[in-house]
Amino acid sequence: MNPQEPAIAKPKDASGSRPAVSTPTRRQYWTTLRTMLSPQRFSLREEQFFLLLAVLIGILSGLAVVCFRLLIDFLHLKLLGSGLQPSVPRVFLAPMLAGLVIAFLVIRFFPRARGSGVNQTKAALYIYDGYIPMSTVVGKFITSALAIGSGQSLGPEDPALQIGAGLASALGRRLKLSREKLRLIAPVGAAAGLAAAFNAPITAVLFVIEEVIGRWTAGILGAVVLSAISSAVVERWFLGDEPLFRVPAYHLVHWGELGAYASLGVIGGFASLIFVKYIAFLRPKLRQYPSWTRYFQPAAAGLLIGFIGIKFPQVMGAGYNYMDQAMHEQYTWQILAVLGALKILTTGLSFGSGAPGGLFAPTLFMGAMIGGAVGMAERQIVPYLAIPVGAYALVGMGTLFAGILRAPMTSVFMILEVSGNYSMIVPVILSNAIAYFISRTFQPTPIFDLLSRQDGLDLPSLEEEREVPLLRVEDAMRPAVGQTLTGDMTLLDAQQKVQGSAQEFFVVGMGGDEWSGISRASLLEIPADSELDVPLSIVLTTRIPYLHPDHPLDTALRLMGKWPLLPVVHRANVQQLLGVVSLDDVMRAYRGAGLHENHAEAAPVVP
Amino acid sequence: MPSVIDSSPATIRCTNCETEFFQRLGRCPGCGQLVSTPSSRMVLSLTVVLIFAGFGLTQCLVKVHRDTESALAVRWFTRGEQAMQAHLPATAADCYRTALSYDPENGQYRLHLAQALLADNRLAEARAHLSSLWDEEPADGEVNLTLARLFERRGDYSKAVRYYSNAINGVWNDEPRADRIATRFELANFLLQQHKLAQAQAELVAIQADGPANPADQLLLGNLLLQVNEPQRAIQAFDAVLQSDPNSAQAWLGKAQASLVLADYKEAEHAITNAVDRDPKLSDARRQLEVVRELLRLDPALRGLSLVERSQRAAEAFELAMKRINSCATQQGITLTSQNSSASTQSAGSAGSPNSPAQDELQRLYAAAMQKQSSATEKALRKDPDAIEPTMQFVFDVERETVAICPATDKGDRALLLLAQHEGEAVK
Repeated sequence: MNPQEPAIAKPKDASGSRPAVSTPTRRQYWTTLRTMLSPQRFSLREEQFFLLLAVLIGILSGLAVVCFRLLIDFLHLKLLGSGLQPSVPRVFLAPMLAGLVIAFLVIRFFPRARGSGVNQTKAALYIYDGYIPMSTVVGKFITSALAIGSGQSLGPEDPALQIGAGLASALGRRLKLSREKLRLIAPVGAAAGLAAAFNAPITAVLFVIEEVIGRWTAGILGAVVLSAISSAVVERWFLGDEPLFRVPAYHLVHWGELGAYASLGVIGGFASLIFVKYIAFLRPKLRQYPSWTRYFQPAAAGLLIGFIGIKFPQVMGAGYNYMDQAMHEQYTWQILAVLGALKILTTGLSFGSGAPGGLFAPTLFMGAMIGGAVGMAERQIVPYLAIPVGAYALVGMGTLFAGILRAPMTSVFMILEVSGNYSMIVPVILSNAIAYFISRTFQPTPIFDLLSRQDGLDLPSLEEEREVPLLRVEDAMRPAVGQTLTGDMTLLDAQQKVQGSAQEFFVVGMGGDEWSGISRASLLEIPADSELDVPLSIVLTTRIPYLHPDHPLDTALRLMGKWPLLPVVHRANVQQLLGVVSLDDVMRAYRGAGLHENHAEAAPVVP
Repeated sequence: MPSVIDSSPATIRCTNCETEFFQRLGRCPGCGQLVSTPSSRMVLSLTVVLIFAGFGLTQCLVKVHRDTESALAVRWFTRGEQAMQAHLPATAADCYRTALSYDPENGQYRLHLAQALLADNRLAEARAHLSSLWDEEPADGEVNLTLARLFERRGDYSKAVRYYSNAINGVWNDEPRADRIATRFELANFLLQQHKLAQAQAELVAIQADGPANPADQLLLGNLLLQVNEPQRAIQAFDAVLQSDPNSAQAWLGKAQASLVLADYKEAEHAITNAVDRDPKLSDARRQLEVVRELLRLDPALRGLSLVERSQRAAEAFELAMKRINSCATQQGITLTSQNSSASTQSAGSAGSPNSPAQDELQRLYAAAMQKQSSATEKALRKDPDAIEPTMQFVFDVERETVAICPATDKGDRALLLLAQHEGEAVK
């Protein structure tokens, strides 16, 4: 529309002449409308689009995980029957025959569906620029459902994580996202998948950030949270919003109870250790056999699990029903202890044999059983404490989670979220911390890092990265001795000052929030017959960036540019100089930090 | 494995700032705008369509799944009910637990599971389930009732009473009035077992005030009121039964017992007669009827008797008491003397052994009887009517003391003993 033209064309008057203001034509109306609705008006910045995409991924992942859970239930019903105690033929045949099918599908068609899914998602993030093939998603969906539904001792959460990540990856590729966003889309989907599987969005967000991504940036956090919430909403829409466990209300009554929970932390810590060592031993051991045996390893594992399942069907599958029973004092402490030990055994068999499936649910099962056993035993020793066994089972879940998976924050919030009981936070933290400490002391490499190294992947250890101290400017800066000038100094004064100094570059405080700089040579080059009583603030027109002591050292590198020296100033008073930092200072700080990586623990897989 | 799926080095021009850049960057390096291409808009549209289709498909699958689970839950619950009826609580618990696995939110299943566990004496497990239920529905009548039974089983009196009270005042779904009455009955029985008569009495009075419509409940109420020494109220309860069922032998019998407690012997005779007429198999009632009739024949305190009749009855009662003493002594192998001294025993093999308290008591009674003998004749009592009551007191003493030594078999003695018992309660 021509801005020179009036907005509305006026009708002709009786004389036939057009008045000064005219009314718009229909064509002008449509032009205006098209302009308002043009795609350019709705084009988003990539960050905004990424958030919108996160919601869509969350919804898609939620739908996929709901169908995944339905498939597991369906297969369980068909293969093992409807009762809690399957018949003997089913117990033997179902996991064994399903194991044969699973092995065939995984080896022939879906090789990347093997494993839990967590390391595979990390590999997508750090190695393959966020790439997860759609075939892997399909394969994981089918083979994991078959494995868990037939009674292999594995859980659905980790596969759900990978399914969500895979869907996100596929969508991101179709939308031709930037490389940076494509890398990050997989964890966004992972959080969605895990949130739907667990019905616990906070836990999913924390786990993905703690274990998969490893950092807390605002941008990725927003997308992860949105996808997790969307996914959880979808899951609750279809499957209800009741908590995973129906737990009676507990609260801390006597401070002596903390001692009891501390003992649970110790026992849980050593149990975690046993499990991780067992996996670390068994998995490469099984892979040393000839490759053709891999077609039968899941079936053999299924057969052994079936043999155990005749007497203890509780160890088959994910086992959520039995965790609930443990919380309601269904079993004696001896039975609970046996179930905990058998679950360690059967999970190792299933996981080590290569059956696809996760470790979350078995970890919680072990924790519930061991916690319940400890609780019932302690109740006989110290009856006056009268702690409900269900409380021990609940805390035990978090304890084993912290000890095995080594995600301390996730383990605390997970227990609070799945039970809806926030009065247990102190015992949970105490027990988890002890177990984490024990596991960390005797098994420095976390289980996921262990597994990735066994697979020949050098993925970053996020646990180690969390503990690497962040270098800041204050670690590199040095005192600005004789290297500062002020803007109100005259050129003559400045020349006199620099003449007596050995420094080559000087920072100049210009007042307000500005700093500048000048080299010694430039200052001395000014002829003596020039106006030397002019203040530096007039002469210096270029401004240099400044730093604060708490800035990451990486910021100094980014801002250094062409400047040999940068001022480090106080946050409350920008003109207050605290020190200076040069490129040499930065490099010296990095070298002095002495960062090392240790890959000595896990031997690579023998091909 | 490709690092990035991007084989095309295609470039595009930003429509916002006209900057040309590689498409794979995804955004304009000049102004940062995300440039949407026709293919990406298509993908987004397809994604939205896929989401809608996914919702529809998932909804269908979830419905099928839910229907299957509901059917399985009902099937296993039914099996559990059958097992409970067959008195197999362990099997029932397993079935209920399986039903719960398919319908975890079903409070009825959880309650039945708890009840099965309770029946199987697995108190700790039952309590764990009931605690969860109580936390969710603290006012539920059935939950509180089950908890009361659990604590009753554990011997925790105060908690049992507390939960019984909660159940009585709680919420009942099907027949609240009948359920509350049944719960009160259960509580009353529990209190009676604990010998808490006053509390039991209060509960039974409350039931009567509520007016149970069921004749069986009225009958039970009457019998329980008798146990808590409320004969008048018991009669009201039995009368209520007889109003709806005049041929109820049990109600007549109950009314008879209540009348006896109230010392209304004529009414008792009438009631027992009705009971026996309606149920000839009541042999104990027949014997009791004979005793009551004998009592009516012997009791000098009945209204409307003349002095002569009273004297005759008192004298006859005294003679019966004398016979009682002698027969009891004979049973014990004791020779009684008229002196108030230790009786000599003639039981073989016990020469020279000290007398038992029973022997001393019989001797004492015999000596006292001999002293009263002259004043306990009909003639003497006619002359001295004031001596009738002391004479009857002596007769009652004899019956009360001798029944501890040797059981009363004669109907006269049993009648006098009955009179003596009621006399003692009246004195108290």
